[in-house]
Amino acid sequence: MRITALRCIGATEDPAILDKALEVISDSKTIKDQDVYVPLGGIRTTRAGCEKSCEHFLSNWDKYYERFPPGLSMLRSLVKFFCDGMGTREQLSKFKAFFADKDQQGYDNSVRQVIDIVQAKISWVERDSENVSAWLKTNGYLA
Amino acid sequence: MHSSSLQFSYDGKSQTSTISFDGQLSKGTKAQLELTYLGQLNNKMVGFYRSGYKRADGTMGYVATTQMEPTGARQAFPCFDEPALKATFDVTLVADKHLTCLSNMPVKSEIEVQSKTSHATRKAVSFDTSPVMSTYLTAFVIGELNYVECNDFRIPVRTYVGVDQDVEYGRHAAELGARTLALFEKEFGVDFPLPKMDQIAVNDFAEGAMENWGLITYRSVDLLIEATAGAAHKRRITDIVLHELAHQWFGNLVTMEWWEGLWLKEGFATWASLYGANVFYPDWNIWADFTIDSLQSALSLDSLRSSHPVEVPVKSANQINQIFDAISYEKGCSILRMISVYLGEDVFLKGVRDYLQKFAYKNTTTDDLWNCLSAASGKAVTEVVAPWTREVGYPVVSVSEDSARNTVTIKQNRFLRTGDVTAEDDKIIYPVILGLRTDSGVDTSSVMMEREMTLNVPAGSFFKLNSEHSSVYRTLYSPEILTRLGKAAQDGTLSIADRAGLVADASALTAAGYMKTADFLNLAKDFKSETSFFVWAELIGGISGIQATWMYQDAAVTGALKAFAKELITPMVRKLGFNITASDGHIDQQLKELMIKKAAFVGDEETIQTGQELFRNFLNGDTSAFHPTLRTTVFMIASRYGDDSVVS
Repeated sequence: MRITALRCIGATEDPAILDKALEVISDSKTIKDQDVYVPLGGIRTTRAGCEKSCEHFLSNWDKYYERFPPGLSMLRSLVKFFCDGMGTREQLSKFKAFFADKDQQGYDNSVRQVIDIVQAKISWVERDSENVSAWLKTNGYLA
Repeated sequence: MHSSSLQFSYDGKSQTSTISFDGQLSKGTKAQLELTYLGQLNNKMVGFYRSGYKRADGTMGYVATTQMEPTGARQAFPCFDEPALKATFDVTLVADKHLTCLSNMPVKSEIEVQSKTSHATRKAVSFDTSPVMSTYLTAFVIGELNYVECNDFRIPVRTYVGVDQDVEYGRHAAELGARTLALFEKEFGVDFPLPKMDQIAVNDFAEGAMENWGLITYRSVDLLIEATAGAAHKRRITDIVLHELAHQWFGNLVTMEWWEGLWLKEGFATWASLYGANVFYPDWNIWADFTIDSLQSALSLDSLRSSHPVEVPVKSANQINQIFDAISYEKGCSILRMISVYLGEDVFLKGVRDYLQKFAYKNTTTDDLWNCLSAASGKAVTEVVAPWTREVGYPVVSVSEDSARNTVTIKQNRFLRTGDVTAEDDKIIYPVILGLRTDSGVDTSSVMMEREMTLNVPAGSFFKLNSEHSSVYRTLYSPEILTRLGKAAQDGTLSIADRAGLVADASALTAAGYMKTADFLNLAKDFKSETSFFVWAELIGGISGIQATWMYQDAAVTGALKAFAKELITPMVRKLGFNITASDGHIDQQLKELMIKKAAFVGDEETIQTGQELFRNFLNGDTSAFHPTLRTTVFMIASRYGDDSVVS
């Protein structure tokens, strides 16, 4: 029951609640280490949530790095959960620049995978943006 | 020789200590090294660590427990901490008398001792000598525990539970455990070698579970389950219990030589879990579920240039944790699925039995497995399968017809989600086990060993590649062929797995630019009368993937996509209703949850209102307001569409 509630708490578009949800995640007193990824399930269902979660993760990197030692299993999963919902060139550049000078031992696979995942999305939407809009118009979903 | 002074040096990078002696030790003689050491009962869920629980009186209690894999044993006790350096272990735990002490083996003896640290009278619990095994499988647990026991199998199977949990919630796992040990013992041809099996629910646990021989540890939510639980929870428990029990053979009895062979146990345990679930619950259609779950997880990660081969070189302790991923687990499992269909499951299992018997208590590499499967089948297994674990990635097979020449040709190229395959990426020729289906049936033996090939099939006839999606590749059909297959899907000619896989491939090919997104949207429209959960999972997955990718575009466009999704699913949503009852089977439950959740997310008013009403009833004390399967959906609706009071 508690896990379900945690999973859903951030599914809103309300920025204040999103901020609160991310605050909960970052405080080891309010959430178990092993459950940190759970609220992200809900948070990532909106654009605001995806944007905030990556921003939050990078801003609080030092805290997360200390709480989740890179040689263990959790940090590399969190890199993906917090960040692979990005979708713009600007966000991706920021992410790349952030990790360029970091010691990536223990999570370097995840950094590379996030870059690939996000780049693939950017390329897809750039390639098919008009194709999709035209289809939506033809089929009556777009004016 | 007794050494009175030892020199110690520690190398942090290699995580090793070197001990130098006064004299020389002769090779082949025996020596005993006695070390007294101090460790930390940490809260990082690694090594020997503490897991917290709240007692009934509100105070905090702790269970001391272990997580050794991959390199935690060295944090719990000084040892030669590599999987190939197997040994027997004799464990003694010293603890307060009221605490339960557990290890891999049963208790041998218990004596009273005077503790040097607490100065109180404690007990020293000694366990029987373990079989020859790797350090990463050792385990010890000390805490206030209760248990339930099942004796359906020839040895007792217990579920241990902290005093903060309802011990009855452990009964299902104990019974399932007994049933599973019996099945695996029979199918794998080697008796389970320990005199007992314990499974324990641990509150603070980093991963899902760990297969310590005879003492499997689980995250509490992944072991304990109420009788009234929904399909997803039941499936999760089944998956994980069967997975850990399969490890008792794949990993514990026969161990990979080094971590680059991790897939030999994780791929196998993942496959065996599906195999076993299919035996116990034939109505779950496990192998159709495999095509939308494990297979897609594997293909998804492996479509990135940043993926890695299944057999992946691992140099330092720091790197090992990263390869516990969808390549080792799900691609490993998918490759085994592919071979088992290619050889026939009976022959495959014969080879597996030979492998387990031959290498019991020893270590293996991937070649050892291929050799056993070759011997059992009389086929050149290595040639067909070895590249799949050695090379990264997988191919897309493009299919085209030439009606003038009446030929169908196929061509394989490396598949990358970024759609930017270079000559360097494309060097590998994969041995593609085609699984070609025609009106005459399925050809399970043809393998494509070159870049291009002509199929023995007339142009314009009915055919489909990768029957049941039991092979690791994607298929790109020409638009004409895809249209024909779409029609075949609608008129019932294609199986559930074939329809689901077709949609999954189309979705992935669209993301990578091999198909236009508008064409995928048209394909989705053609499937609007689809009835199967598995196919809907891929349809909705594909549409949701487009929505997630278009998330940063204009509100008008994202709104239009949402409207399309809503129109597509509404008829099915109305037909299914918002109610799950006891008479809904496992798959029906999953279908309802899938459709209702999506309906809520695309703004279907009726669904949202019903969800909000149910949540209000629930808050007002009606605990059976809705079926457990719908709990996540109802909470999501409340969170998404409710006001601040709801979220508080």
